[in-house]
Amino acid sequence: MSLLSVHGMGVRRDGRDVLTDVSFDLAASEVVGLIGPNGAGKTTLLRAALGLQPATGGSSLRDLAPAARARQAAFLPQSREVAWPVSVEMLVALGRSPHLGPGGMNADDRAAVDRALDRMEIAALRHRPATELSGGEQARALIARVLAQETPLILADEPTAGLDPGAQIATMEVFAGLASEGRGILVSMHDLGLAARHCTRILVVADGRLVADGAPLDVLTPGLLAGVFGITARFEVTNAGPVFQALSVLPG
Amino acid sequence: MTQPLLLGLLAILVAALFAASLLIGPAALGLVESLSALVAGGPEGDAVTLIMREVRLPRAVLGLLIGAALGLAGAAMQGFLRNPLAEPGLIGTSGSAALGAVIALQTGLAGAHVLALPGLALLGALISVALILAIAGPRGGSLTLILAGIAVSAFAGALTSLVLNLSPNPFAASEIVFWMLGSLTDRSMVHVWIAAPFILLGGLVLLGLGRGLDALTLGEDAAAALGVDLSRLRLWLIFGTAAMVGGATAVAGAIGFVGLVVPHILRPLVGARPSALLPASALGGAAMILAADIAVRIIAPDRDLKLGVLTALIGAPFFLHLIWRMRRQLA
Amino acid sequence: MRAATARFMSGSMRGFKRLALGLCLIAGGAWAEPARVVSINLCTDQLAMMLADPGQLVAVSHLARDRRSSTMVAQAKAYSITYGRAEEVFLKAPDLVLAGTYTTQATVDLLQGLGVEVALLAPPSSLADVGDNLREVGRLLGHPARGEAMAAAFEADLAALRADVVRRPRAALYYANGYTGGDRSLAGEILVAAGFANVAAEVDLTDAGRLPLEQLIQAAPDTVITGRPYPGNSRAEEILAHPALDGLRRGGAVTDADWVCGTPHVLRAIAGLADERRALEAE
Repeated sequence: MSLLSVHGMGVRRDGRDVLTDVSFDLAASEVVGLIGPNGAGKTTLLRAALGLQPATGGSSLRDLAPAARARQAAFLPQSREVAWPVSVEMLVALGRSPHLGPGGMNADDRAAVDRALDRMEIAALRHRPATELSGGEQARALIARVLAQETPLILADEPTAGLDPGAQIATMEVFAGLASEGRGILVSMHDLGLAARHCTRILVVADGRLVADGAPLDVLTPGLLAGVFGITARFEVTNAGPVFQALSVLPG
Repeated sequence: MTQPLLLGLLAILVAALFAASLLIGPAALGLVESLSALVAGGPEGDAVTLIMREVRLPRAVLGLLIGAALGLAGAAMQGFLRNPLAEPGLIGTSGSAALGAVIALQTGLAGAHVLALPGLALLGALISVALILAIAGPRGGSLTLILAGIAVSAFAGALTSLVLNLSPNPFAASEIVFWMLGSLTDRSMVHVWIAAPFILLGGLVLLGLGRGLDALTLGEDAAAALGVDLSRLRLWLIFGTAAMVGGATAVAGAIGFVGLVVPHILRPLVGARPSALLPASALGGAAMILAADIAVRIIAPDRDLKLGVLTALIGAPFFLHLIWRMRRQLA
Repeated sequence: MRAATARFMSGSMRGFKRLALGLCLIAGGAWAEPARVVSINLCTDQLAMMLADPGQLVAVSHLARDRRSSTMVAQAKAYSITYGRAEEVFLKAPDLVLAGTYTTQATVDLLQGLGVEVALLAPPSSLADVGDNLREVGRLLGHPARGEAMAAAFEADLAALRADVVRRPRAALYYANGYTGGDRSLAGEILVAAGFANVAAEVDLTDAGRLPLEQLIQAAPDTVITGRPYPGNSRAEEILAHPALDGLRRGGAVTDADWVCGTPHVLRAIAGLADERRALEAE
């Protein structure tokens, strides 16, 4: 079942094409990694697919009314903004807002918040002001907010940036767990090793174009790594799963 | 403290101050006498009834409404801009509303149509809020906000002075002080009817924005993805604050700092949630203005001490404290 | 008359001028007749127009042509006007400038610094001041006999007008910003001369001062006499339109230009107000 269908999407900004003719589908149970160099258009792609950014072409999400879209897809922006010293619990509960009736939170909503807190292992922090957490804790609280939204689809813009290795892996395992429950994940990231190991599929963006789309082993070829990232790498499937290690920067 | 408990306590405080406002005045009236005159009324032309119903009641009602307007408008603006320094007085909204009111009065439009006075005050406030949001919108940061506010305030203040100086009325020129500092002295029920519809309408609008403002805690993209229609939220916010500040300023002048101090004090008590802060700040603002208006009557009973003097005496140190806390972000 | 003759002497050549003035006063008991006089105060304008020789008064203030405050608008059109600024006054090359004690101190200092004689007259705060001011201006203009005659006529007319009243209705004067005039003000004396009792006295206000609206309502006067609002709008005057005052204002008495300055025209104000009182008592 397709959770997101993007076709022929393009974005122009200041007279320059920042995204050109991007098409892909995302199905249930997929963890799709979105990779590409800085400025390639990953964030623009996510925002345009959601309809937060004017774009040409089609996106199944953009066609939905804002409230319906918020029940279909949750979005974790790159900037980790928490404007007020609200408690972690209150912050996570914001994820429930698309589901609330006029009466506010009900028992189901509270249960969803608890599930999200538990999944990100921050239940102990629930009463702490979110602005006083460490960077990693805050990132996890914000991911928990996205989880609490309990949408079929999650779009996350660099959720693992700034996390320690354990938290990075834990986060990707949470996504994998959600995918196993039938949800779809689109996650942009810079760590190709993490992408290679935890994503079921990888989209590669370069200069605003989708240049590759497929399973990690098929996508992360020496030719693509040289052409898009200018690096060499070793990528092997071991007994402990796929292992990817970037090795050197190519000259020029 | 739970939200209903806090709102209940604030409501009791407001009720007590409202009653005190009704009972304090230069005419020494007995407690029973004045309350029975207020509720039951005396014979036609009875002095106590006139004082209670035509002098003190409008003053107390206006204190309640205007305080609620300033507190709520401040809390809503702060929620939208995610900046605790956003305040109708500091960013020039009140000054611009005063300019609109002064234009309505001096051109005679206010005499020609009853809606002209609050209407032009609303228009002045509307233009200034839209301008501030355009210049120092959510991505503008505190410094841009305050600097833009200084410019808008100065411009509105200068135009207000100009209009008053050009007035054929010799008293008008000296009233720049009233328009800059505000007062509730000798306002009548006429003023209540002028201000109340605008303040109540704006209040309904702003109280309805709570969920959107909550979602904005996470930033604009996250809020939009949570289903908040940001452009509609912005339009309603501009209209709601302009209606409240316009209605309040049209009859009482520009009273500063209420929208800064009240949300600042109450924010920790509501767990910093913007939606919970809205009704609490409305009640807190009402309490602050009622208390300030009682104080000006006690401190200087024989002269018209301006409300803005007291609110600034309390508010300016708060403002400095906030700047001190935010100085790294501002630098 | 508050030693006004002594007060106009200040400035760079103060000592010398005081000596000269002293000699003048000793010699004739009068000011040597100044040829060119400029008045920059509404009240001295009117007194000077009444007392000056033709051609002696060169200019009056712009307020002398303002119907709301001047009783001599028609006469004032015969003179040029100034806005009381030192530069325009100086250019009229006056021998004497008549100003009020409330005239901007900076203007007075500047004129005196430029060597212009400035005589300051205090605004009248009683009916007795009216006669004194007439005499004073007569003397300053070099026509003491004329001033004396006009003052004597005024005092006789006033005495004739003072009504013998049995029961005095209680009236309150009420102006912009809630100000009132007590018994020791010109308006208060006009009120009493017309046969009213001033409510301000009941709340211990003797001079001019602020009377809170509440206290005015509580005093329940028989009538309230207010000023006529100026065009344009001011919050100061809004109190005069307060609904609570509606029931208190009886008759149509308002304070007009006749009330403003201590000229013999205050007699008109007294006569008009006395008519108002009789109408009120007839009700």
